[in-house]
Amino acid sequence: MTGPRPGLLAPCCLLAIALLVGPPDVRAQNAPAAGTVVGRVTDARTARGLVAATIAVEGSPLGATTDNDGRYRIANVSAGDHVIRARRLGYTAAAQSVSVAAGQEVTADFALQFAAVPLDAIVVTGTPGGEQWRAIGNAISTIDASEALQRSAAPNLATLLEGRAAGVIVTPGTGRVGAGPTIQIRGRSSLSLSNEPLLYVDGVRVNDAVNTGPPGSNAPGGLSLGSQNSQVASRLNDIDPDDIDRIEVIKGPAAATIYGTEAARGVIQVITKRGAAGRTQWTAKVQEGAQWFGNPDGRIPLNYARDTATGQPVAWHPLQQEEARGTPIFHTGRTQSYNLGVSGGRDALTYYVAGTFTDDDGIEPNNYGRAFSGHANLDIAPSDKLRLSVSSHYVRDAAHLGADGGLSPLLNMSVGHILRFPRTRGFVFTPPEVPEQLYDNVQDINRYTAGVTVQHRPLRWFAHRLVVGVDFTSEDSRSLERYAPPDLRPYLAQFGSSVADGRIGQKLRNDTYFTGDYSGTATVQLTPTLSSASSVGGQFTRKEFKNSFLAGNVFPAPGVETVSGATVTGAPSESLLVNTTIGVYAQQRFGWNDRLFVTGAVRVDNNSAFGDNFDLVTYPKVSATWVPSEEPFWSGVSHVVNTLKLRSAFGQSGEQPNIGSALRTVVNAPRANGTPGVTTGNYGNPDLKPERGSELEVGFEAGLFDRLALDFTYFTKRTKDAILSRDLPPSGGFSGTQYVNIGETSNHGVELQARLQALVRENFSWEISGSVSTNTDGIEDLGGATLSGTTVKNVQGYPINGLWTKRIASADRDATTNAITNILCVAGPGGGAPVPCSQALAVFIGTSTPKVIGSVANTLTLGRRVTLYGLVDFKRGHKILNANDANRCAFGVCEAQFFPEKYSTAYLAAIQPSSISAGVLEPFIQDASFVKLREVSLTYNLPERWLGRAGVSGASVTLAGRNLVTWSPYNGIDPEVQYQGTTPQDQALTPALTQFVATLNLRF
Amino acid sequence: MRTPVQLLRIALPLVATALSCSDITNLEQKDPSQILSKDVYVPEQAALLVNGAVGDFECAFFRYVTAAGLLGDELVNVIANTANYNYDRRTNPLTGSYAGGCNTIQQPGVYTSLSVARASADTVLARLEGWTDAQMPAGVSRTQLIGKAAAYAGYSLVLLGEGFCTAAINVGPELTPTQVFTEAEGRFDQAITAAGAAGDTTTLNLARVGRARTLLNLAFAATPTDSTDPDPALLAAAAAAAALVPAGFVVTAVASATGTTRQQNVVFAHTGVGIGTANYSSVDASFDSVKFAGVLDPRVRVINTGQVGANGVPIRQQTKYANLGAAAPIARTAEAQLIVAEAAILTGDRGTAVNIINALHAAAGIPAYDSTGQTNAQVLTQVRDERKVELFLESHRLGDTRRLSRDLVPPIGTPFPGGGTYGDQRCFPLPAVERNNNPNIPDV
Repeated sequence: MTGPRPGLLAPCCLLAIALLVGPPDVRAQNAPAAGTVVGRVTDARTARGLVAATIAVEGSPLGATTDNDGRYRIANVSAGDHVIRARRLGYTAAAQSVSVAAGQEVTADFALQFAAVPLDAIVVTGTPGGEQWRAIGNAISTIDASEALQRSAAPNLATLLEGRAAGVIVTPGTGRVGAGPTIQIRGRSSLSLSNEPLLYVDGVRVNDAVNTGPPGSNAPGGLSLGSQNSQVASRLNDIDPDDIDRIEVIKGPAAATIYGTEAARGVIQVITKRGAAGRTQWTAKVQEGAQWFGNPDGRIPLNYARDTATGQPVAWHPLQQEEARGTPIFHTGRTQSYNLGVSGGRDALTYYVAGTFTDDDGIEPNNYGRAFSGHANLDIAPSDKLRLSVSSHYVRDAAHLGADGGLSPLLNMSVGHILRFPRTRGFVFTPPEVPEQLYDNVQDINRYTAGVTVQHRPLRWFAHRLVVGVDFTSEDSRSLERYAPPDLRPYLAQFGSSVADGRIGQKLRNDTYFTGDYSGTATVQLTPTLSSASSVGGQFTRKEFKNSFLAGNVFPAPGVETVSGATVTGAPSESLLVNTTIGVYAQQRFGWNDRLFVTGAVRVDNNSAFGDNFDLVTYPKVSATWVPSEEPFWSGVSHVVNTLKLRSAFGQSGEQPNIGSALRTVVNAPRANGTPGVTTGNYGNPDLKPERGSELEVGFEAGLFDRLALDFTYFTKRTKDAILSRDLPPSGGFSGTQYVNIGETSNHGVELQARLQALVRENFSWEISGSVSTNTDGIEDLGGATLSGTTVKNVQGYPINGLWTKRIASADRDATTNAITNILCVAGPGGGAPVPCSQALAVFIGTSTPKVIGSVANTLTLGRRVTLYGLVDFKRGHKILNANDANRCAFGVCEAQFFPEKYSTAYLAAIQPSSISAGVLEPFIQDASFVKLREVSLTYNLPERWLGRAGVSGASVTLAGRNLVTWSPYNGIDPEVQYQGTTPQDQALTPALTQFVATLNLRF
Repeated sequence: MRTPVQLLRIALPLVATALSCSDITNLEQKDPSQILSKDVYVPEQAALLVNGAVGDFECAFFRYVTAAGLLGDELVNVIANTANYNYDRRTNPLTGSYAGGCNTIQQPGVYTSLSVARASADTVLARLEGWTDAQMPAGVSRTQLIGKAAAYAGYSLVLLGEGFCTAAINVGPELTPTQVFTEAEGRFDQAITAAGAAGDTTTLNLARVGRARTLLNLAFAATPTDSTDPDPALLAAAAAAAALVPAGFVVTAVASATGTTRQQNVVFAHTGVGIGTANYSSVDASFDSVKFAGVLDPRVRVINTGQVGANGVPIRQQTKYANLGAAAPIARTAEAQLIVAEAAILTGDRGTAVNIINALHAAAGIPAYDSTGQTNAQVLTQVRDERKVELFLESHRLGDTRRLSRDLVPPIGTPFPGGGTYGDQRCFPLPAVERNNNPNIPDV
């Protein structure tokens, strides 16, 4: 590690010293008396109040958010003339001047116009107070969470994102209650690190871990059976959608430069609801619904076996069999949610407090979850120069994650048959009651997130902001296999003598994220036409991960379900990982006539995961925007193209190495006689540095005909110094792998988002919105390394996470018997003469990342009370391994083995025993393209006359459906699943459940 | 009293100062759950490091005995698993499981485990040579530790030389077995010098046996046939080193039945756990009911369990190692004596050879070997049969098969239970993980 660099530190220190001595006498800026600004914000065309509009007193941190009727109140505004500005997503900002008198109330009402391009909206960018949309040179997707939630009844943050932001790929792993999806923005770019975006809540970096959950027992006595695919929970599920005001998605290096060394994979900013000054407003929500496995009979193929008496193939109907037996495998789960919130405030203090209880049942008895979350936001504005915002969130969640993927009813039925396995009613290993009664994969979460943001504007031209926050998650995950009762014990004997006695693996985990973020911006009007905004800032992020793992096997009796109660204990483990990032940035923006902006920025970071021989990383950024529609020459076409913003950005950001991957370690390894000893551990790379993503994007945002909004972006990204996990030559004395910066990947694509107000009448409106985005990724260079992998591999010159297998080249088929002989496979990626499949190499079959994703939503508003909404989304161009079918054929129960005439020669060749043993999976790597009717809803706003007597000021009822219909060429159950959260493989995975919920929203 | 604005006026710049003035170039990685190499490779931990190297070798040794037993003719596979087939079928691909390390049981990893053991010993050996006696903690002899580290490095090299067609050291070029044995000889010489100086007779004799074993290999390296004319000088040197080993000498690799995977006796884990379909390996039929002069030889007592493995092959259980914690000899007097005997008969000294055979028979309680009327070649065969029986499952059989270019049993092309036919491997090939990641060796 090298010492300090005076050359770098000097400007930082000078800035801080300048701040220390420089601020003017704040007391001199304070007016001795203050008044209040009140008003209402409405839609100019419908005169309806607009909820969640932002009102700001220009030149001060004072502001408010409108209530459901569009009303707001800002107290403590210093006496004098002020400009009040109103903004809301989807509307043109408006401003008006008011003269505030001490102790008086002044009214400022706004009627906002539909805006195709929200040029004056404020976007959270990392600088104090955010930046105006018109000045931002990169694409940003903003989701109005309140509106989206009301229409969709989305159960979590990820479903709010799904289909609503161009370029954001949400992939659910399994449909089990409690599971969470993976999220990628503009596809994959890292080969060995996470591709999940960073998550911020109210400016505080928070835990966004996916694929968490209980590991199985490691105690002697064989593999854990019930814990396969148990690590499916996501920390994104801890954020209550009811608390979210809006979500902003920052998509890549071009946009995320000032977020630094972890932001190359994108950033999701969640901004929670805040109170508005005015009367106290209570809200209540009651949601009841049901969810089920949609059309299982139509989605689970039948298995076949031959009746030895007749010689005829017999189909097996496990679902019908169990239904007739009175023990249906799947049932309809109940889902319910109750939310109560209160917001309001007066003068210098506003608040928002809410709590939600949810109770979800999955489709199997061991899959359910109960959660409570509470959220409290407090805003204090002691003067018009200072604002203190406090956000706090608590969630307690007990998720019983169920079991699939491994020993589960779905797996047991997918390869079973009553004629083959009569002892287990046809289920291959165990009947459904074994996993459903014995396996309980639990994750208990206690999580607290708190942040304090101080915004201070000591001068009209200078504002600065400090954010400090902490996010603490306590996790207790347990994979329990209970002591089996006498009737189930015989089914488990095949797995070992002690398996029926149960086992448990327990992971205890405490994760803490600390955030410190300071930034300041000086805004100066250099000339009447030229403005300047200079920003500097520094961020500190510290992550601590404490893990313990305990395990035990063989419970002495029923009812014992703890590690300490087990007879045979496994090797315990404990780890503490600490990672720190410190970064500073400077940004300079020049604006000309408020319609041409050029921005340059640079960020310098250090991260404790960098190697000892690598100190600092520097990321530059430059962007430009131009709003030609505000130029004088535009008047001739302004009735056609009402608004046009052109933008371009180039920027870099990074992805830090995994914690500890630069360290060279030894591990405790005593000899068998107890003599202390050590052996080699991690062969860390002291030269390890972050991956560096460089991205160029160009695009435009346009409003046409006062009703159509278009947002188009082309992006191209290169990730250099990609970190690869390269095998070590054992002769060097280390086993395993070493991370090295030798790879390079590329991504490029286009994103188009559109919103059309198709019809706007007094009693009827129809809005169509949608998006389509493409992504093509590739591995440009692996630095000579050959990465391990079987079906999913990363190979130079091919897409990231490609699906590879041996491909049938030719086979002979008897026209009468359909017998297959003379099977040859494609020799390998380089071609050549066909060879026996046992000698062939795998060839590229397809990519696992969708090449095209998109959605179309329609919203019909009938009269003042009825809203109909529907969302269809699609993904295409990718493949998935249908392991269900592969297993089915390997077990000799697939249809093709009994009705070969229905199948192609290549398919039949692939399911011959010699092909299966040679690893031919080609027919089972299938097109996973799909179109889904994702959301449908009907909302009815109850007439006020019905509500008045009950003291209710507004009420609505929404009936919403989710995951209703899927159109797909895929032969499996659901093309969206992933095995163990990341592998494009469908093996006995629960599909996304069909859901209907009814929601009653009340305002008091 | 200060107003909140005044307080913030002070606090905000202070925080900003703290953030911006902190030395951001100096972020140290903190991972308290791991031991950093730089904290351990210090003179104070010299004994810990040498013990670690010994532990690494013991882990590798148990895996080598098992894997070499399968590739040779001591063990046969009894589990229905393709990765396991490759060992016994003599068809190990370059990407085979034999390349693995100490975390393996079912498919014993030998190349990585031996390479790590060799490097651990060599690394601490180099450090010890750089440190001074004065830097050693009280009661720790640097010279003794040098001897021990060198001896265990030598044994790792011997096994790499005997078991692998080629090998590499320190990410260097591909080495022939002769080159590897030459490296081993150097380590044993260093060990003998240091152990002698330190008065460490155990390590001294361990190194003597190792040196004799190495020289025996080198003696045959130039004439890789079952010939009677190996290099006489090397043969004599081997016998001379072995002759110095006193009676009753043995150094074992220790194991633990309750310890971690790396501490277990893998031979027992393969052959003695879950008799039946859970077995991984069984003793080859050629070791079943081995008799001398009509008397069952207790040195290879095998229990015919009457059960079959998952692939239908009968389970014959070895009794040499009774549990997962059974220790296994790395070097002992009997091995040294058999080297003396082989060298003796190859130079026409029947008396020495027969005496050694009969001493071993007496110890085993079986009738004496009568060489009357036997040719020298027959006595030589008897010596080598004694090696097969006396050193059963002690890591020698595969090396002997290769050293003497014995015919492979079953013959190449014989159908293998489970599919395919027996291959022609007499040694494990240098695995792909070394070839593809060692810049001094061409990729495959």
